[in-house]
Amino acid sequence: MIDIKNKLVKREYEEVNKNNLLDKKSFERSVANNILLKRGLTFTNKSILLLITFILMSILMLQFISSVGITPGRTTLNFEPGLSAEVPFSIVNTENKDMSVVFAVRGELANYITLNSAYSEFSSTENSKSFSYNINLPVKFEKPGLHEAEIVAMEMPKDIKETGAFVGATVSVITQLYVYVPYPNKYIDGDLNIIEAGADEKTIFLMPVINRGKLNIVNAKVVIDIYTSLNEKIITLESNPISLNSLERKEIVVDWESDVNPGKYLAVVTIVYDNEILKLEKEFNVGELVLEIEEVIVKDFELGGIAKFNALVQNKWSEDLKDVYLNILVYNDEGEIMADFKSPTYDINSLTKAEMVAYWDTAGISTGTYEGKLILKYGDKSTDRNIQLKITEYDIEILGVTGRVSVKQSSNFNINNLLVILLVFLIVANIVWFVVVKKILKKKK
Amino acid sequence: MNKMNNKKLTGLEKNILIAEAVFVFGILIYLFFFTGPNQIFPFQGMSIIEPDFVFQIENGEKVMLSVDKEFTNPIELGQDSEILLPPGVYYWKAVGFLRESEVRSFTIQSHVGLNLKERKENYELQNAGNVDLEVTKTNGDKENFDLDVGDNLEFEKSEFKIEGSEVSSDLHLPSVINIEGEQK
Repeated sequence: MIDIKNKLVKREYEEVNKNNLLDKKSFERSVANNILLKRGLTFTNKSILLLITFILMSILMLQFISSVGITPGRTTLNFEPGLSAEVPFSIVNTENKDMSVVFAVRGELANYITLNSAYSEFSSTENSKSFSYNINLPVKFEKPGLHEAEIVAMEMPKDIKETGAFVGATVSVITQLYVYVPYPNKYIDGDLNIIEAGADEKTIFLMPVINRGKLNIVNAKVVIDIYTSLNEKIITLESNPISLNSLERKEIVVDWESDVNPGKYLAVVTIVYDNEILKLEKEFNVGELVLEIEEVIVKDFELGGIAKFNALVQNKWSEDLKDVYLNILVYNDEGEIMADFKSPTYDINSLTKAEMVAYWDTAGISTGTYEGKLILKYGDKSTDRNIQLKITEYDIEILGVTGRVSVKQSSNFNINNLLVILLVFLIVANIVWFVVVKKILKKKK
Repeated sequence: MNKMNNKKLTGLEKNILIAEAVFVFGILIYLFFFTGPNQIFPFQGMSIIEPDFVFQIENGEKVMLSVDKEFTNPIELGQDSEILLPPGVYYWKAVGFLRESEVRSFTIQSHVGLNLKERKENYELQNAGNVDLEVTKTNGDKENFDLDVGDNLEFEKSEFKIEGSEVSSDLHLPSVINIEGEQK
């Protein structure tokens, strides 16, 4: 059995939890420090200290996390005259805490919506709760297209009913209701999704299209023009034509062998349908925004002096990169950062190499092997690589700069494979027996 | 030729051959009926709102994932692959040696989530859901801004109202697929 993780937005939860943990730790530390301090003090001082501790504790306990989630974020319906429906949604107690949620409805369709609940209380053990609202649409809308409503869920303290009012910051989440009234003619609504690829791989253009008109569309096709960042058209791609019935949704997929330099490109998409057009455009990247560290050397080094790190860095991107700098971290045996030094910022032209210099004062550093990290920062991105620094009296050797990723293969050996091997062996043994051994025996006779 | 050979088979040879034939056919039947790739989780037609879930298969080597039933542009996922899936309907199957499971579908429901955390001097607002949000901050004046999945923003401490709603396209489909692990 194999498991493949779907890693969505867990990071945020983990970070929040981590922050909570840090807060808790600092809180515990402050209490512990206070206990240590108290031991050597007089009763009066103790009272003052207790009072300070109490105030500190109160302040720390005031740290309030407001968090609430709602799903789905949107419900979409196609209009039908006099449509009545019950629409479900759920409130997610993301931080598993005691809270209240107050509901409200607003927007153009508010008059057609009845909430089945206006208030609900959550305990810390309730992860989510289901709710619903009813819609009763009119027989006709004058205007075709999108009509909206919003169901707002506002998080409140659990005792809001008793206290009656709340002053402070409040957080609300919204589940939307979209009702599409068909256009009397042919009307395409579309979106452009691009699955980016590395250089020399396929870039995939995914275009979901929906006919929001009452008339069927006989012929719809997509033309994609791709431009460089200098606005030069490099290729035009075209999809096969499709038909689209009224309110039907289809996906048009076009792929492109991106045999171009890594960089930023623009896709201008024209959806042509029965003499009408819809234009969409989106920027996308081919290849990674990559700076590669080719080597790092330290020359003329003497322990206790200033070490000069020379790093040779290649810009593999098709655009110039500005304000690039190198950051080197060195860890001690306990895994703590014992040195953190940076190079000045550099501008590295497209597809060129540059030498970056960073200095480290090694006063007080002993000989030995240290773990470290090389971080290249550019724009809002960074590349990092774990390294080892072998420091001797007159040399710093840096290992791991040209490391490569190795893929671990899992073992496929199991009972089924054993059976297949046995089966193949038996078949071969029988062939040998029938063809070879029998022939030999026959000849002998 | 075979017939001639068969005529010359001794009783022991015949018994060995029959035993072998039974064994071979038994294995073939077992391999055919009981060792095909099988999907365990997510279940057929399931709606998923949790931010973290795991594909579970047996007798298979990889998972094929697609946004259409025809698997026009499938994504292959192997052991330990991780993938970021935006809300939408997905089709998937387990693939083993020469064989595939049936096609199943599941839906990732959009989830609008906001976390407000009190920092030392500021409030920090985090998009904790799986869709990009349009956030409105009301503090006397109204202020609108976008908050993408995973992003956070800091505000000065004050009394205010924050509202978040989904801004993604109404044609839910993967807008960005990031694969950490293997992509073939």
